[in-house]
Amino acid sequence: MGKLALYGGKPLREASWPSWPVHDGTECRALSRVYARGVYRVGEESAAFARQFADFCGARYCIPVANGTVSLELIFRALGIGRGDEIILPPYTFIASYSAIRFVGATPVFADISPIDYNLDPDAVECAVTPRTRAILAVSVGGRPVDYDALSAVAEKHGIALVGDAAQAVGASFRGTDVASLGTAASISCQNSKNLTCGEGGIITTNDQSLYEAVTAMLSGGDDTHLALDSGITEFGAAILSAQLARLPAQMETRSVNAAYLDELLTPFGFVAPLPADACVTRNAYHLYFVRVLEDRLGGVSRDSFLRAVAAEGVPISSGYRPLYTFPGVNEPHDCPVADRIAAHEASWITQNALLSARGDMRDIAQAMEKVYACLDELREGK
Amino acid sequence: MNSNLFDTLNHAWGTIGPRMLEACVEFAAYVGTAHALITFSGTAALEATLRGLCGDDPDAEVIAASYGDPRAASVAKAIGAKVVFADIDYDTGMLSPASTAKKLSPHTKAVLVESLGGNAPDITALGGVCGAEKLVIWLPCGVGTALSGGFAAAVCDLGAASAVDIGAGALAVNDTALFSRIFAYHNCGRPFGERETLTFGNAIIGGDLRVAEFPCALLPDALAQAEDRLAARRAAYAKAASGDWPCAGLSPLRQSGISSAAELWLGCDRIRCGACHAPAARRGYTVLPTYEPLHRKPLFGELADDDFPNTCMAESGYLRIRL
Repeated sequence: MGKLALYGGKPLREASWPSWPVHDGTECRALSRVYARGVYRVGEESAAFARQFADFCGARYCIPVANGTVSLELIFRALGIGRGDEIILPPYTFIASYSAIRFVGATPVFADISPIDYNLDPDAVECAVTPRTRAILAVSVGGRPVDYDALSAVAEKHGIALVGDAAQAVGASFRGTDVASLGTAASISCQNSKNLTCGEGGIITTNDQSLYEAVTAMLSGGDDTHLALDSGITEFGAAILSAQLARLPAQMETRSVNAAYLDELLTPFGFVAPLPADACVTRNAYHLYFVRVLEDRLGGVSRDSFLRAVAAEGVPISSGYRPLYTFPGVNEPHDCPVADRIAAHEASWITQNALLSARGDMRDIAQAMEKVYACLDELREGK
Repeated sequence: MNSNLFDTLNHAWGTIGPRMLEACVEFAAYVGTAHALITFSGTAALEATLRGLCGDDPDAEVIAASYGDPRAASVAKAIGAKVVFADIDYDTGMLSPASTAKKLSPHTKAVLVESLGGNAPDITALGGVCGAEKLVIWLPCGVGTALSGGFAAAVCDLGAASAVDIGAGALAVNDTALFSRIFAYHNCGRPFGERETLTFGNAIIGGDLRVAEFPCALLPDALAQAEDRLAARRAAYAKAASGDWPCAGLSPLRQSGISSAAELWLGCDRIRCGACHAPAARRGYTVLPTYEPLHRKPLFGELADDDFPNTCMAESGYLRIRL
């Protein structure tokens, strides 16, 4: 296998991974169209993309906005959520899920995640509900849909909203239905790294007419009861998203095929493992491909040391999130042992652009892990 | 075509990219402040600024004019501050220093001064009342308004009403500590220079008010054309302002310096005389709707008119003309 690249050996892979975002003349023509028209804020392109995305995901209403954080804020404001209200969220997610709650004045309440899919554990959510709970923020982390059956049941039982944070889950589906059309509303991010991107952008989807009208009122100058907030998408962003949306189905298919192959390659290893499959997850968006590192099989080598060595071999892998309650400024109480363990000892992810590579490149990922595993002594001794 | 714009496709498209950083430096140089930040819209810039000034203080109060663009007070309310309305001066249409003085409290963190239609507000008088470090100048009609006197921040909408239209927003500040807070609030809590780390080490819980690269790529050309556009606007303003108005009581609202001349606002001393609007339209001017008093809106608590006599006069006494 050779010496570890971490200690000066030849990396298993030196070729680069596919660059992101993908673009060609279509995006160039999209920019030209907007530039020639000279209207840069919400206009024709935004309206056209809203229609295209609603068709794509099957939601009744679609509102393109400035990003996938303000989309959450707008949904919460449209639901009338504010000071004194609570929203349940997982701690294993990006800070935006938390900040959006704080920014509307509500109180974030952490519920633990499931070790099966790293998403909210419905039992933990049930335990976190109080009379002040107004919504569950269901983050489909990495692009794998949450358990919509169980979380919808909790939401219905308590008469609260189920808001999908599908920031990483564009195109994902649960029991054959796109996550953008599930729950009370969904929020999608189109930030630079996302599977559907325009640099900075976001999408709100809902089947609820009153929620749609409330968001639209806020984006259109406000009225007697709605704030006036210019949080619409730019015309450049909408035009680029239209071009990117046309690419999305083929990219999704490539990611799915490569992820399945990677599952196949990693499953026999015994020291790493893919997340277990779930028949209800009919489409994982694979914004992140999670690899469980089984630290207790590494002979005393930590997950972080193992990942550093794999990354040095040329694999775009990292250890992912740390629980939000470990951030300075996040002071809410928490009791989330699964999130603590996974974040510290188990989780790792590979970013979506690597899954757009050729099928054979998935073997590089697996072989890099095998190489590092074969060199655990070297790693343990730090040489 | 704009080569800067198309070249952007070949780099990352968002999240504090090179075009955004260049645009911030260019905008600061244009307005003459130490720091500037481009955001996705004018209200996003205003939100970052007010969060920078108010922090997480649950008792923070922001004073705003009871007459004007509803977006300013909306943003103050959106960040969780208590919006305290002060009246305008009828002859300027902008925040009254005397009324502001009455509304100050130990909880006042910011005083929002809107430039009505691009008119220059009396920053010196307002700063004398509340302290320049609390003044936030809101410029919904963009760049070009004279800002004489100290202020905490000037915030522009760089949209269609502005002589610099890139479909974004911007803020300009001199205070480095304030800029650092504003930057973190706008960038998911990350301090300046930490682009995409997932662990922030920063006690500020920030949101996402970032601009994509594409609008920023337009800024160099837009700034280069700004002076010509402003000159054309000011010529149109001067012509319209000296118009032979059918109502003898009608005159342009007073301002304290050079205007961005986006709109012509006139006030009539014969309130509800009804002689202004129709003749203006007949003479080919585009008469825009004026504002509804903000203090009356249910959103802001439906306050009584008693404290806002000039706002009530403005409701029927102002004429707003697009230039």
